[in-house]
Amino acid sequence: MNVNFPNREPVLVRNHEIRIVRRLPGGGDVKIRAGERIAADHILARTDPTSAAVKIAISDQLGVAPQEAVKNLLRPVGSTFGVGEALARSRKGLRNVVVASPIAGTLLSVDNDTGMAHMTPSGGGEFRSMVAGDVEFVDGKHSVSIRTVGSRLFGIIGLGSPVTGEIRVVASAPNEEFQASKVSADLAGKIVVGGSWATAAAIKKLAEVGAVGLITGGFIDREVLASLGVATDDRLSAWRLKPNDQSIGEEFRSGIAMMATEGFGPLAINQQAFDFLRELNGARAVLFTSTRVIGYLARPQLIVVNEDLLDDDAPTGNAMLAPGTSVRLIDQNALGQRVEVAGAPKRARRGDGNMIEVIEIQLANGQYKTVPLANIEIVA
Amino acid sequence: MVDVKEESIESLVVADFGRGLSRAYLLEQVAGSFRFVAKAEGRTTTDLPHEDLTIGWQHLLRQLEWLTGRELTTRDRLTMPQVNSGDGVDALLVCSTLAEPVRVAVLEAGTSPVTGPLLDSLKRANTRVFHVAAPSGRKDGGWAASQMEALRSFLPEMAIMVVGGNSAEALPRIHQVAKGASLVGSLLRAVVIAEGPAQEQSVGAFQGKTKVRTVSPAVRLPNEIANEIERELMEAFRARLNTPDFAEVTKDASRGVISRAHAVDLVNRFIARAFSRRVLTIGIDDGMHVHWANGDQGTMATAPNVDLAGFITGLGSREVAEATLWLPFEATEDELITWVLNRSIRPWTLPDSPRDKAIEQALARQIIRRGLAEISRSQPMALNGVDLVIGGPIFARWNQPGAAALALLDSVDVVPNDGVLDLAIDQDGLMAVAGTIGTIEPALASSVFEFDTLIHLGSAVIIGGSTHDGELACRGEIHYETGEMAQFTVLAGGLEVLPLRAGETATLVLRPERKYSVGGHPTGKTVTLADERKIIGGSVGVIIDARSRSLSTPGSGRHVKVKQWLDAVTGAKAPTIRRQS
Repeated sequence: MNVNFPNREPVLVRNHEIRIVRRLPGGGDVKIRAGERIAADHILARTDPTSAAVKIAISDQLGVAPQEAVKNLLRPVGSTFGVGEALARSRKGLRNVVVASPIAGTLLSVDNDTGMAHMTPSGGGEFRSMVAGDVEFVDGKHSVSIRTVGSRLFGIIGLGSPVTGEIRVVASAPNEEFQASKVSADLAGKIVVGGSWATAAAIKKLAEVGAVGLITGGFIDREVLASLGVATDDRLSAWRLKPNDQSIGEEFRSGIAMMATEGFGPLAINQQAFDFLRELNGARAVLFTSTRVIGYLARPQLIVVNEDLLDDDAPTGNAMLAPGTSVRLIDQNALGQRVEVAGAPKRARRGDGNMIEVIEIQLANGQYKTVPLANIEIVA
Repeated sequence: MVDVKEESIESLVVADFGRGLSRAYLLEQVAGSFRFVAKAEGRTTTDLPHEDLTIGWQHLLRQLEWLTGRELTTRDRLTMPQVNSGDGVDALLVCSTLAEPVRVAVLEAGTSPVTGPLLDSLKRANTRVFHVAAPSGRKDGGWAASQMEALRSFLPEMAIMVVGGNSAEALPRIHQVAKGASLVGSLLRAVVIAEGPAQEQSVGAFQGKTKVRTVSPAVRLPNEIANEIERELMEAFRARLNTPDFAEVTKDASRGVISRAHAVDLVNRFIARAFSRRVLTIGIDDGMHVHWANGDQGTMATAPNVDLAGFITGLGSREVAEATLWLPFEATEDELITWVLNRSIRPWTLPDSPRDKAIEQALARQIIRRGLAEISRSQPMALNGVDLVIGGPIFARWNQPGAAALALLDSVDVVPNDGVLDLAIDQDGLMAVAGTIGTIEPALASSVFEFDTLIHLGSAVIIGGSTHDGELACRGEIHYETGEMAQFTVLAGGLEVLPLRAGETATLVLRPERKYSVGGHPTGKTVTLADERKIIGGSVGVIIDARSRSLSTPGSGRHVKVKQWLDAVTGAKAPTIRRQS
């Protein structure tokens, strides 16, 4: 049974062999071969820009016939627009109806049959590695597996596009709330470690000053949705995996990549993870945010590549459940509680007759307890 | 696929592949009957590369081998047929919810006899359904526009437009929705079931690249049309399943794959026919499916994208907020929403604490009520006639039979006509297994069901009538087979559990007070449950339930009441009757 998802490795590793699977959107023309050494800015594939294109229902939003949509554009097809910039406008009585661009990008086309506009994000069409390393295998036009060496921290839920930036630990304690007052202009280009959770105002301000990423212990769903401008009566709808989505929250055009290390709620960053992030303060990192728990598994992760070790044999061990191993509980009731493994995993018959795998752990107060193996995770 | 002659099946494996968890069952001829021997359960894909089903499948087979001490495989494949030493099996059957359901928009204008059979067929074919019926009044208040946001997020892949009688006013509205569905961009094909000019106009309503075909209801029976669409969607379902790794695992299967909901539905209908029961079966596992059957009638409600694990965010936040009604402690909507979100990102964690189990049980009630509401819409009087309620494996994993019984009772939330509900659980998910086996050999399936499938929790007698909590609702006596007799009283708003072991029966005499009744019997009338209607024992006992329906009425101190109810059924509160033997 796989204890740690998505692979068998601990939540955080230092100078370890790391494998990253980069999933190519909508097929594309793969530009690398297995065995190649690549840099972080290497183009893995050139995809059809329309495959990454965002659809905007222009005629629908303006209330005009599909074939009229193109006449209401403010600039012609081929023009670039910024986030929030007006794309098209029509007049309804005394009112102006405006369709704003949800992304920064180029207007590719407007379909006369459907009245749908297609916009490709800036840089759309070029799918870059973002990490230096060696291409292990290329799975057709779907994915590329890259082997690299470095330090990694797995989160549990992420939002936004992957980003690269310098790690800046702003929080002085892992349980500190991240407020807007802590945001300053020098956070531009940084992946900020913010403590337990961030307010909507703080997240927005971070995006405004040009920070690229935010890591906290938890997401307060209301705050995150407010920062994204999502107004919904159904708070859960935003977190559903929608049809055709590759990861949770893909529809949100978050101005900043976000990752929670523990889960939802005002949760402090795990102490070991916080110490690890402090060690990496100032280092250049990449934050992948893709999160998926159905079908293929994807987990957000922060990676700092150590290019000096790429040619060396780095540690590759899987997480082992030996007595003394530090683990954390991940069931709801005890989420994040740090405990130690006290015995080997074994099978046990539950009261309903079903067999499950269990393990004995020692709590911080010295007491022993048997818990389902599914409810623990090895941190380091 | 491998053809297997029925007389040669001594041993078989049934694989049940889900999107989160999968199971493998070993069943064999034992002393002349076909019996369940062992079950393995595990994550569908356990290791890198996670898309490869074969790794999870091999893990399940090794588990089965470990549990039974048998060699079932040769070089990671099932040894087929079974050899003289007992190694291997004779057949492999597969049921699955692995494939992403096809998303179908059903657009209805007017009244058509096709709609009912069509909706049933869609549920069997493991689809997600967005069903709208256009209103036919003069003022529509922008009805079509109001459907568009939901339709956009649904992203239909197929649309079925059904145009029936009296559709003159509804038709333009449904055409608007059809046009909107085309504009969403995901709609690949559509079927128009209509006659005459309405057919032509309806075809024209679909725009863009949607391929449209027509069916004439005047020349074809409703069931024929529904069956044809079901076949088409089952082909789509099987095509989605047929990834290289799935094809590799199932190439030795003796029959095509059946969806889990369909398999359970077959058994549910069998129970109704064979045992003359009016039965409700509830499953929450890779989606929700609820099945009702009575005689030759039956229907089901399915929601493939809502459950208690990876699809827990399929619940609406309002449903989650209302779940606080079922908790034996105070909790806010925020706490529950956060709980649900954390479960959604760690769906394989098991509820280990009383608090987590209580929350899961509360949310289960909300999921079930959604399914039962859908059944009530198509069969308005169905629930009141039910006499047997069966819960799926989720009810067993809490290891709290009393809480499971209460969850079933609370979900059904009616005063049944006869006053008695038998409660059972399908602990191991064998209804899906029996249904799958039944597609090739009904006799074997019947044997599995008869001997191994259900665990009886007990019977519940519901006392109806006006209520002031705390006043005397009913007195009675229970007469055991051993000759013992005990008297009991039940207060309005409460529950009493009378001990009655599994396999035992007893006669129950109920004397409701003047304003109260046993089920739908006249108020104040004494009812004796004896002979053919003796009460059957189970792991919980007999529940005398004098709580007023509807059970979902909020009120002050609600969590205190819920705790009292739970304490009564779990034995935390000492029962009023103690047996001597």
